[in-house]
Parts: sequence; structure tokens; C-alpha cells
Amino acid sequence: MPPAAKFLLDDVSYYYGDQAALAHVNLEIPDREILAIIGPGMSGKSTLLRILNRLSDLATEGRLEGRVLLDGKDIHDADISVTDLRRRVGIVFAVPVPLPLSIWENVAYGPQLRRGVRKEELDSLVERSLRAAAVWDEVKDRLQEPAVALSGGQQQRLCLARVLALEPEVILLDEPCSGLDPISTMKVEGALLALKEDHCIVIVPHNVQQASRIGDKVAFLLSGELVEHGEAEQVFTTPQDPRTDDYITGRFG
Amino acid sequence: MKVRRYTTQKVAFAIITAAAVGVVIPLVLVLAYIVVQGIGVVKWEFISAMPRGGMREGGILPALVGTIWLTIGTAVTSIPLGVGGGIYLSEYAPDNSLTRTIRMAIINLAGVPSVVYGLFGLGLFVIFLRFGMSIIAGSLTLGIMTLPVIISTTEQALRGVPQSFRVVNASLGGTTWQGIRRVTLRQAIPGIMTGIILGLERAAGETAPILFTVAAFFLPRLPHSVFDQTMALPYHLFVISTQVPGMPIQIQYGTALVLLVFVLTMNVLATLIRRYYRRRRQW
Repeated sequence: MPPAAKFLLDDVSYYYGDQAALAHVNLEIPDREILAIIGPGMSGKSTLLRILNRLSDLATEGRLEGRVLLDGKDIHDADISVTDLRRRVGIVFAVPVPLPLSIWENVAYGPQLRRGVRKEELDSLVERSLRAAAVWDEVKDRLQEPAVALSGGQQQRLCLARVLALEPEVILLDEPCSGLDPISTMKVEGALLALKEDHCIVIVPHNVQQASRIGDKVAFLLSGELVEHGEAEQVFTTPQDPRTDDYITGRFG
Repeated sequence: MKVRRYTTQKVAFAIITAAAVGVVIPLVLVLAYIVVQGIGVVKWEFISAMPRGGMREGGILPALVGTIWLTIGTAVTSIPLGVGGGIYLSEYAPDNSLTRTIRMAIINLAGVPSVVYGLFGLGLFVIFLRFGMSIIAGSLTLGIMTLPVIISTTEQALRGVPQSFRVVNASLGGTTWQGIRRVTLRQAIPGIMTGIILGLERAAGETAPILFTVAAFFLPRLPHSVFDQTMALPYHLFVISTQVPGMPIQIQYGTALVLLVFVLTMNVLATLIRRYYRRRRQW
């Protein structure tokens, strides 16, 4: 039985001013799998991610058309709280941005926004999150130190841990490894493969190789149009659209 | 070519250095002159006793206490409003005609001459609201005058905090207010503090706004409540320098010295607070 759809995009278009960043995208995002969204720059990949947890709301000149359903419910419904939605759908950015706080405070930031979370619970949540993000061993002795003192690779895994501490259902990642060395990249990918056991993961990989390494499903975006999507294996070996073939074989992009 | 380039650089460097040093000269001269002239009379009695003999003898206690009251009153009236306004403009205000009007108003408010604030305070607080000449009327007048400084420095300090922190806060399910309280405001505190103290410092030294709203010519007792009139250092200095014949010149300079020390102490305080926050923030 195929995994149930976590997200359903129903004819979604997104405009910055009168510039269309996404045009009539229909997409099912399954639970407990990794969906890799590939495509050349400016094809709407980041925009698509930001729509899923309504970070796109922050762009005041942006405009969305179509429906985005999470577990069958429209995320723009009046009774959906945007802060709750963002706790359920966490995001990791291309450039890690540690908050100007300690390592511990960074990871505990999200949970602390809720009322009545006990310190001991937080401690164990912080540890679990850092372990799941494969960075615990490197930071366990310096949890009270400023997070900016960490290396780039550690900061990115810290940011992943910060999202995991929200105990989200969906994890979005926007080129999380673009600035990382191969070792750190391997650690992040390992963490993601473990996390997909009980999370829905949507990643914009920084190259096609990463998509083929960790993606279960692949979606190919080109200039805001969803050209093709399906099982990773099938998209990479027998793409249906010649443009997909051109892109993954490196003829452009 | 090379030699000429270096010569030009050296000359320019010398001129710029001279200009920078030049800035210090008037300050040093003013300070030195007032200290030399006034230090003789500034003893414990001078700052702890009532004026006597038509202000030609005794101390300046009521004026000093009055200025302290007014500075606290100004802080109480202008800090909450000013910081709140700055937070609104930086973090919440959409870019529309209303907020553009507010911004314009603040800029213009900062340009209004202080004597006009004094007249406004007389009309609104002293007469219309029936506060009479009182500490509360003077504090409110000085507070309004200080508002634009505090609002703009608060807004600037907040705008200096990277936008990415706000995005991260939102992405972790934080409300705008949670982001302000936990991250943005904390980062901006040193800048905000500087603005507040610079504003209060100016208010403490102003004469015109208190002239019609609170300052007494001669009132040898301490205020009991905010509805009392009081003497204040800047106005007292004006009075003894121009309105009292046969005034010993040392008392004038002594008073100026006390006012100067009062204001400079606030300055030092601002620096210390800034340094404290900067040391606590290691990033």
C-alpha cells in the first residue's frame, strides 16, 4: 500500500507582484518519504517550500492561488493557526542562522515558545534533537556556549536539531548542504534517512546527485512549472519529458 | 606617481587628524574653564544647603533635587512611549501613508524649537489640564520633547538586527512579539539605551521647556509631590547669571559645574550600561 499523502497541492500558483514564481502546480507529497525537488535556479523550488509552512506570508507582495492541503485540511483555513502550522512543518535554510543565543537555547527556542514546558523535559528534548541531527557528540560539553562559535557544518546540524525539537510532522530543507563539506553532508543525509521513518521530508537538494542519493520521489520544476514527478528511480532512469532528461544529464541547469 | 600619491595621503591624513583633534579642543576648554572657575565653591554645603541671602550665599539643593525629579519624570513619560513607538515603527508598521505620516511627524517633532515645547506645555498641561506650574507639567513637556529622539534611536537600533533572526523566529512558530522579546529587542538594547540617555541628558539641561511649566525663580524648599513647583539647575543658572545683581561669579560657575557633572554622570552611566550588555553578548 502506498503511503498516504501528507501534503496535497491543488492547482497552486504563486505570484511576486505580477511575476509568476509557480504556475498551476498539482503535487502529492507522501508521508514517511523523502521528496526531492530539483530544477535550475529561479524555478520556484524555494517558493514551493515556503508555501508549505506559510513562510511565504512574510513576503508582503506575494500572492497565492490554489489550495494547499495538510492531512486533507487547507492550511489557509481561518481555524488554522499559522504558528501551530509552522511547528508542525519545520524548515531548515540554505545558510544556517543560529540565533544569538547559546547552543542549548537555540534548540530549546521553539519548545520554549509554548507555555508550561518543564526544564527537565527541555533538557531531554534538546539532547534527543541534537542526537537525531548527528551533532550531539560534538556539542554536548559546550551547550551553554554561543551557537555562532560552531563551524558551518555544526551550525547547519544545530539548525536541523532546532527544527526537530519542534517535534514536527514535516521537515522542509532548502539546500541544507550547499555550504557544507562532504563529511558534514554525509552526516546530514544520514540523519535525514533515519528521520524519514516517521517524518514527511521535502528537500531542495543542492545538486542532482544528492537527489538521487536520498530521494524516494523526485519532482522537477522548471520556471515555475512542474514538469515531471514520480519515483526517483523512474525519473532518473526513464524520464518521461525530454526537458527532465536534458536537466538530469547535465545539458543545462 | 607613487611618491605623489603617498604625499597626498599623508597631507589628507594630517588634515583629518587635525579635524578630529580639533573637536576635542572646545570641549576641553569649556570643561577646564568651568572647573577652574567653579571648583572653589563646590563643597558639600553647596549641594546640600538651601540658597540664602537672595541666592548669593548657601547652596543649590532645591535646584539639584528639582532637576533630578524632572529627569526621572521625563524618563517615566518618554521611555515607555518612545520605545513602544520605535518597536511599532520597526517591527509592525506596514509601509503605508499612515506610517509615513507618523515618521514625518517624528522628524518634524525633533526639529521644533524647545521654547515652543515650553509654550505648548504651558497651554496644555499648566492651563488646560490645570496641573499648574508643577513637576508633572514640566516632566510631560520635557517628555514630549525627548520622544522623537527615543523613537528614532529605538527604531534604528532594531533595524540594525539582522532580518534573518526574524525569519527564523517565525519559522519556529514564534509570533512577532515573541521574536522581539526573545531576540530582536535583546540585540538592540545597547543602542536603545544610548538613545534614551542622550535624550534624557538633553532634557536635564534644557531651560526653555521648564521656564513656563515648572521652574521657580526662588523656592527654598524641596518638592513634596509631582504637583509641586520646583527650582531646576538650568533655569537657576540663568536666573543667577542675569537676574540677580551682585551675584558672586563663583556661585554661577559652581552651579554650571554641578549641572555639567550631573549630565556627564549620565553619559558615563550610558557607556557602562552599553559595555555591560556588550560583554554579556559574546556574539
